[in-house]
Amino acid sequence: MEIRLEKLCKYFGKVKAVDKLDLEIKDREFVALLGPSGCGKTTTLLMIAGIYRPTSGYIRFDGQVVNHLLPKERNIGMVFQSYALYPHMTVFDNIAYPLRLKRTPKRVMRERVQRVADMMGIGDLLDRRPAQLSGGQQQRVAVARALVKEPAILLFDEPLSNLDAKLRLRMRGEIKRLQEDLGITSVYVTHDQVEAMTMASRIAVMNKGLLQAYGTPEQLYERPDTLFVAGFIGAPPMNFIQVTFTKKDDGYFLEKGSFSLRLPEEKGRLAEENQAPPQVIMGIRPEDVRVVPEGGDLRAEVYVIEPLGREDLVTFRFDDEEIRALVPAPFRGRSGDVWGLELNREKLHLFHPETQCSLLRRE
Amino acid sequence: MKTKASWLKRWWRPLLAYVILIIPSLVIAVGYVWLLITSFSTRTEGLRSLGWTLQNWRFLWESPFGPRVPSIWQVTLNTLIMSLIMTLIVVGVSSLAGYALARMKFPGRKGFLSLTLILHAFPSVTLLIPIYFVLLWIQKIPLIGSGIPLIGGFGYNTIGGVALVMMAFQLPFGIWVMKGFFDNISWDMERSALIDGASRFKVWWQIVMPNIKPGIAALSIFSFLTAWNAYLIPLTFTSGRAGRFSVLSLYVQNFISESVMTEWNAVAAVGLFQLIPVVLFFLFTQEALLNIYSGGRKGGV
Amino acid sequence: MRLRGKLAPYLFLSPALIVITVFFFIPLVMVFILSFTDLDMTNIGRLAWWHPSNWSLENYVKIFTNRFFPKILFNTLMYVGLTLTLFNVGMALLVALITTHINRRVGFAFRVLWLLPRITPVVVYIMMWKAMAGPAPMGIINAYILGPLGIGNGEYLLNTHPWVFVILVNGFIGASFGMILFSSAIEAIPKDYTMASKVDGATTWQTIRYVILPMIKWPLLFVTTYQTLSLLTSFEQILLLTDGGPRLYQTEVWALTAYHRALTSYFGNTQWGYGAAWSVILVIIGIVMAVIYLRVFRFRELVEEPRIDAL
Repeated sequence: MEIRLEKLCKYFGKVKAVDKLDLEIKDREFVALLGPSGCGKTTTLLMIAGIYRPTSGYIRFDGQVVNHLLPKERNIGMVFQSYALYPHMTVFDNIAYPLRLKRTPKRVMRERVQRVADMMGIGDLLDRRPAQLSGGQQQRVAVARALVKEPAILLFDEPLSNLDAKLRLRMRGEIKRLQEDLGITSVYVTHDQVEAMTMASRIAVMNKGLLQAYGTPEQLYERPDTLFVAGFIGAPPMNFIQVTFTKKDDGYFLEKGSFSLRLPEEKGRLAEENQAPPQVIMGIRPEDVRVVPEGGDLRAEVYVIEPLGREDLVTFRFDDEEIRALVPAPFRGRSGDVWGLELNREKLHLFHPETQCSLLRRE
Repeated sequence: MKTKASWLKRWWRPLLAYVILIIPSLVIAVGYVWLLITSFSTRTEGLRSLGWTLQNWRFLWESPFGPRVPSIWQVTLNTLIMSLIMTLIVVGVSSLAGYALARMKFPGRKGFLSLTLILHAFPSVTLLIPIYFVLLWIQKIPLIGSGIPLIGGFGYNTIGGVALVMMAFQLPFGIWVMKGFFDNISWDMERSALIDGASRFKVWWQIVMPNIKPGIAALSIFSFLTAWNAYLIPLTFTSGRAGRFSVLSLYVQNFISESVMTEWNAVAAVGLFQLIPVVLFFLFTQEALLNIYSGGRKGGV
Repeated sequence: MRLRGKLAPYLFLSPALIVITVFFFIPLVMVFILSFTDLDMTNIGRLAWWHPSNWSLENYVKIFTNRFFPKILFNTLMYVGLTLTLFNVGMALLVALITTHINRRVGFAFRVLWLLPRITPVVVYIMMWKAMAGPAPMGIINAYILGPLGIGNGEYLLNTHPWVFVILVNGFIGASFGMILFSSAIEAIPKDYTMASKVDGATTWQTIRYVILPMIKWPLLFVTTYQTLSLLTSFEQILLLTDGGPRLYQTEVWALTAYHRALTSYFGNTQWGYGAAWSVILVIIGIVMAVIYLRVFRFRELVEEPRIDAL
């Protein structure tokens, strides 16, 4: 089932929750809606589900406009953050509920419920009540219930938020594998960019009701279109430093205070074509900053070291700016030491300070 | 460091609280003790019995007013049936309306909510006259007007009629209470049911109502109590204390008359007869009634 | 299917709407019309009360020129005001606060005790009070309190201090409503708040004043509104206790007057029209008060928007 959102808007009174959203999700695709709280991702999901009515715009399933269809007519399954299990029913009745509403014969119902429950690894819990299950088990029941009617679309609203870290990791893999096996078009809402990056084939990044970027995890990571996307994707987050962009006889340079960096020719040209102003924002990820004892593009003082196990996250300070680098553990420096930082030229990003758009766009 | 002043301050506060609580409570308690003593005495002076007897309770096994006046048991049955019908309808209608007001979007929603509160401003006395006409009119309706066995129908001078009127006056409160309980239901649970394929009505009946049990219990108890003790409405809408459809509060009046000497002690006995089942029932269902306001929501939406 | 969806809310509301129309609106309209006629038990059947030619403002003029009109009005205001503040809200709040701060079982026992007046059949309840107020040597108050203290000379207290008892009788019943709501609300306050307050060093009284009371604002407003309306329209107890007496109109309140005029032959033939006029004024006062309360306490903000659009 292909999903298409055309100029979708949703107002709650005067508050604009979703603003002219255009999105297409291919059949069998797993798309994540990623963004901070209040960005409109859940609202969008609920509009696809039919719980909310769009204020304007269209939602199409396989080309057909479905705006006016009731949720039950849309053949979707949804998994909620709070699981939304029916506390007064057993696990079996919970999962069977969609089938019961369709008046499925008892025998068929029993068979399908058992099959889905086994697939989710809860086949032996059918007689229990939700209150007797652990968080992870409840979540599987919720997924089973969504799957039992063999829907054309699966919707997930931050389903892993209430689980502990280890369980979350495991469920991530399981949900991803499940979706691959079943091939159901899925839309997954989350504020956790790691979840989005690891599970989705494409990610739609939203902020304040607007779509910021839509692409594969790789595209968003390597070539973020806006400052917001660049800063949101990737952990630890990208460093942003205000620098001056100048064109000199022998090339393009980024300069600030003590340091001067020569841009690769191509990047410089692109920035010029995109009308880069004198002041720009340079972005570089911590993993693309190399720490050297001597030399480097700039010298900076160690401010704090945070051990992460495999690597150390070191925050450096220079000229009133902070820059973080990921260094293989253990880092031999101490607070106050001065080290050299080398920035990977190929991985530099440039952003316009006002429009916040990438200056390295190819139109 | 405890100075003398702060020590003084501390002890009189709790004492004051207890005094404030106990004195009025004592007043109530004394009244009921008197009631109990009186029902088993021939006469009382203050709290002192002038002679113990069971005569006041003889209405239990013989009708003191002759065969044309229904016995206490008939009257009790009337009261029970009336209360049950009233409670059932109140809970049903309030749940439906309360759900719509709490969970559905439609024009006029806020206005209707304000209306239910304003309805409580309608004095029952105002409406008694026209309702009398309304019930007379209902009586003319074939089948349900008058003629249903046991309750006599739903028109004037029937158990059904009294139940209807009582139900109507309880409705504004009932709607408010049920709405309050519906407000605490998780939205995700309803959304899930809608997506699973339920109609709004099915969501109400199969998903939401089973999770509202404390609210249903609280409203039921409240309504039942109101109906069990009703006096003015049965008085106005039945043929009276000695009629076939008399209820307990009216039956008591038979012992109070202008001409013959009033048998206060028998009145006390009948009163206790009406009161005690309620007190016992209440003691067993206390949690439900006292939680009429509460309802928590754990996480989620 | 679409249409049925849009109709759904109204279908849910229809039973309530039918009841309200039949038992509130239609009667209200009838009462309103009746108040302009002089329908009573003698001319029922002959008088075409629905015909405008029979309408006049005579009843209303009679009311405003009735020489007891100011007294009845004053009585009503005093009755509602005093009972509300002293008992329906006052004692209700005090009892709720105190019983939630002492031993749970004991507190519960007290609350059951306070509920007894409300669940006692009214005739018996009044009789109980009459016995309390009775003349010596039968009356309890005379026998055990006033007598030993040498106050008064053992007369029937309902005759000497009827208002005290009117307020007490109604107050004890009214207090239990607020008591239930307040104590539930207080117990629903998350313990974190009261604990934080104690850790900050507040005394119990301070905790009550600064933490608990603000958190039960809504029940407080609701009870005040609801009980004002209840008191305004209640008269059953007064009817049975003093029937407006003992002296002429001494404890007569507005609702009682309407009842007397409309449904008893005390003042002449059961005057439905005249009684209706008294009732209409009462209804108007009640509705105005309800609307004022709704506005002042901003009940509209209490109402949340539903989070499901699908019908």
